[in-house]
Amino acid sequence: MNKKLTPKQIEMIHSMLRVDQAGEIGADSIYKGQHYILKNNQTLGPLIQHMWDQEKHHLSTMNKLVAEHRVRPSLLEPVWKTAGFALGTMSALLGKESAMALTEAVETVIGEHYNDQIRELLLIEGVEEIDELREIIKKFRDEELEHLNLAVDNDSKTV
Amino acid sequence: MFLNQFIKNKKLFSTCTIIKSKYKPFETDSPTAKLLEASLKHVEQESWTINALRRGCIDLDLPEHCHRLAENGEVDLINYFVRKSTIDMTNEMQKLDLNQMRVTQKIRKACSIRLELLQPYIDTWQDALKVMAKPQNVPASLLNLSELIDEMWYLAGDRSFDMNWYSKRALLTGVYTSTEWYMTQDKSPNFVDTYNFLDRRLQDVGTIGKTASDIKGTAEFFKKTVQGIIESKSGMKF
Repeated sequence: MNKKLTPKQIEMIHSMLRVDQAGEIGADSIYKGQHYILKNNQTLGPLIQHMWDQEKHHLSTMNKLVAEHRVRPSLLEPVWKTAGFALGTMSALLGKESAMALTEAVETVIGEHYNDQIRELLLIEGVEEIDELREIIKKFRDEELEHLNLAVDNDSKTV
Repeated sequence: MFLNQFIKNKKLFSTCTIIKSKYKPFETDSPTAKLLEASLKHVEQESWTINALRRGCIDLDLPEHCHRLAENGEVDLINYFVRKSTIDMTNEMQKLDLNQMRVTQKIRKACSIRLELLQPYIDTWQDALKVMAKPQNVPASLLNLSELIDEMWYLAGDRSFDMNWYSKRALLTGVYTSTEWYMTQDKSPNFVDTYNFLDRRLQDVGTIGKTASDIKGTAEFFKKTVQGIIESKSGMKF
């Protein structure tokens, strides 16, 4: 039996999806920017490509969720895109380590943010869509934290 | 009765299922909903007023002062009608073979179905628009309108998730509201003029895609600018 969500919960999920979408737009743009500068780098090129591919998947999933669940998308989308790209290119220009430090910082925040959301979602039981959403966010959280580890492995702490 | 249908037709998190405290859709089979339904029959003579509600009470064998069941009086009556029409439009559209239609066709069809639902009340509709334009009613009318337009785009198969979402809704809101206003003054047989007007408006915004991509172009432009700055400062070539 599928329970109904309260208006408050629906509103919470709407803003959750909106924030997540905006976050993924930002993350996607950052990797785009870093890839732009470091694509020819022997070690970091493929690594950034790998992380970017995962972010692309995250973004397209969030886009789909936003559209299907009739969430108003973030109005600041162009801002996130531009700011993300600028941040990505700038950090990469400052060197490999600073690029990885940025990745580490960003992924820490995103990982925590997703964790908070999972905690909120755990409070809602017995709704199929929520269970699905929780699984998606869990998977994304794990991937973001994997990026965090990759960044630390690649000398992010030496900046 | 219609609220159940309403929720069934929708995704769980849909905006329309958000019940805003003051503007909530009326509960299934509640006395208020019954009263409002009965009162709609009297709108033609009494316009969108408390009197229509009073006559609705008489029809239901209720004492006249029971019109207080609708706390906000005529505003509730108008809200009820608008929401009901949105749901009816959705149901009508879902009977059609939407896959065979192009987006513009679907949008035109949705607009015309909605206008047909308005037709019986068209003589008094200006009164309703005046009521809903009062400052205290503006939030409710905007909510109703945004739900309607969102519904139309969703039915038309639009799943945009970026700035297109805004531009599409803005354009269609302009088209629909102006057509509705035009219809209240239309004296032509079968409202031919209104539908011609609608077609012309839709042609005007035939560039929907173009406008949307303009906005995308702006973002692209900013990105290029940033690239340009980096290039000039660092002397780096990308």
